[in-house]
Amino acid sequence: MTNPWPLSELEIIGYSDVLTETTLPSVVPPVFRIKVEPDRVLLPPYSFNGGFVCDAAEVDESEFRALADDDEVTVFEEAVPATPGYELWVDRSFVWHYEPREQADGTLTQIAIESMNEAERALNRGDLERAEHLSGSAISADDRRVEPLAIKAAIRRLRGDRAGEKVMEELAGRAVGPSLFDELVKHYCARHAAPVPGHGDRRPMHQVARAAA
Amino acid sequence: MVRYFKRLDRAGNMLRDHLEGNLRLLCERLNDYAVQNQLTVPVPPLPQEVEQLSHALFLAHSTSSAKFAGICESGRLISRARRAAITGHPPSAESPVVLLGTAQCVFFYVAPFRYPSTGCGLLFARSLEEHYRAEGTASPFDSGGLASKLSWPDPNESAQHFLARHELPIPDHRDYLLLSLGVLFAKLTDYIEGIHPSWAGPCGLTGGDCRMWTHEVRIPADVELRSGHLQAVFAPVGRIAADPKIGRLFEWCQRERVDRVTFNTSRGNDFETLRRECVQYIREKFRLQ
Repeated sequence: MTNPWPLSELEIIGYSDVLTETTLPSVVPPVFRIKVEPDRVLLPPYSFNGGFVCDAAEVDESEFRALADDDEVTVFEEAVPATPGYELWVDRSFVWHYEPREQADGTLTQIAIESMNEAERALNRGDLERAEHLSGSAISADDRRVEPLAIKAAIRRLRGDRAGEKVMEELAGRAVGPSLFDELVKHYCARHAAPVPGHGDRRPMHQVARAAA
Repeated sequence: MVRYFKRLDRAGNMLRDHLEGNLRLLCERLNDYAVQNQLTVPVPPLPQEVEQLSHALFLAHSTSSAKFAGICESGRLISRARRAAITGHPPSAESPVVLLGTAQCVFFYVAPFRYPSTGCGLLFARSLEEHYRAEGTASPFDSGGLASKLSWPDPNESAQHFLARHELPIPDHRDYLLLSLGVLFAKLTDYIEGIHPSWAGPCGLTGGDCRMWTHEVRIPADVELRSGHLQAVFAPVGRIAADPKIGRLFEWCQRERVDRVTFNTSRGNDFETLRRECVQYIREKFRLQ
C-alpha cells in the first residue's frame, strides 16, 4: 500500500482489466504512474479522497509489464494526465473515454436505457439473438438493473433452457424476490409471443398506478 | 517403458525428498527464530480454528474478465507456457515466470485473492493439493516477487537458488503455515486480511506487500475446473449475465452445488470488491470472528 498521491502528480497508462465485446460498455479502473518517477505504477485496489489516490497497490515497471504480458491489464499507447472527479470507461467499440464522472454516469445510463429499449423491440419481433446481445450491453452499462436479467431469463425460458434461466434468477436475487422476477419474465415471454405494434417502449410496470387509481 | 517410469518415479522421489528436507529445515529455522526473539512456540494441538484454517484454507486464483471467460470456456486453468504455445505469444525474457523457471506452472495463493488488477476468481479446496502432491510445490511467499521487488538476506544468492531452498511439498507446506500462524501473527485473521505479521519470520524477505508472506502453490499441469475440487466461483453480476461462457460455468456450479459469489461492481474498483467478498466468504466458512 502506498501513501496518498495527488492525482495532479499522476498519469494514466492503462486500465486494470482486459475486456471482450460481451462486456462492453464498461467502467474500468485506471492504472496510474507517478509522472516524475515513471518506474512506480499504482494499481487497484485504491480509493479516491479529495483529489488523492489512497491505499493503492504499488508495483514497479517490470511487474506492470509482466501483468500486461499476462493479459491482466490493458496498456494505452500514450499516457493521459489524471484528473480529479473523472471516470474512465470503454464504449462498445473498445474506445476509451476519460471524462467527468457525472458525464460518464449520464452516458452509461443512457446507453443502458437505449439498449434495453432496443432489446425489448428485438424481443417483440422475435429476434432473440439481438435481444440477448442488447440486454448484455444494458447490464454491462449498469449492472444494478433487473430488467436486462429478466429479458435474458425470458429468452432462456423461451428456449427451454431452465438451467440458464435459474442463473439469471439467482443474479437478480440481490434486488428482487423470485416471484416478482418471475412476473417480469412472464411479461417478457408474453411480449415475445404476442408483440403489440406501436407499444415497443412500454415498461413492465407501465400504467400500473393509473389502473389502480 | 517400465524402466522409463521407474526412472520417473526415482526423480519424483528425489524431488519429494528435497522438498521435505526444505520443510524440515524451515520449521527448525522458525523454531530458532522464535527462541532468538523470545517468542512463544505453541505446543500442539493449536487452537482448533488455527488448525482448521491452516489445514483447509482454500487455494485462490483470480484473473481479468477476458481471461476468465476463456478459462470458463476451456474449463481449465493453464500455465503461461501452455498459453504461449496456444497463442504464439511467449512471455518476455524479463517475465518473473521465465526468470524463475516457473512458466509451466498454474499459480494459486493459499489465501484470499491477492493477485492485483483482477476482477473474477476461483477458489479450490485443499483436495486439489492432495491430487497433485507428486508434482506440485509450494513456497511460503509469492515467488514472482523474487524477480522484482523482494530482497533477501544474501544479495549474492540468486532468486532461483533462494526459491529452490524454500520450495515445499504440498499439502505438507501447511505444517509450516500452521506454525507461522501460531508464532508470527498477532491474530489469526491478520493472515486472511493481508495485515503484516508482528514478526517477519525466518525467510528474511523484505520490500513487498502481503504477498511476501502468503503461501503460494504451483501446479505444473492443466487444472480442470469441473473436477470436484472447485469450491467457489466469484464474478460480477454484469460479467456473468453478459458473457455466455461465464454464465455456463455458473449453470454447472448451480447444478453441482459449487458455491457462487456474485457482486455488483463498485465502479472502477473490481479488485477491491472481489477481495472483500472473498475475505468475507472465508470468514464465514471458517467461522472466524
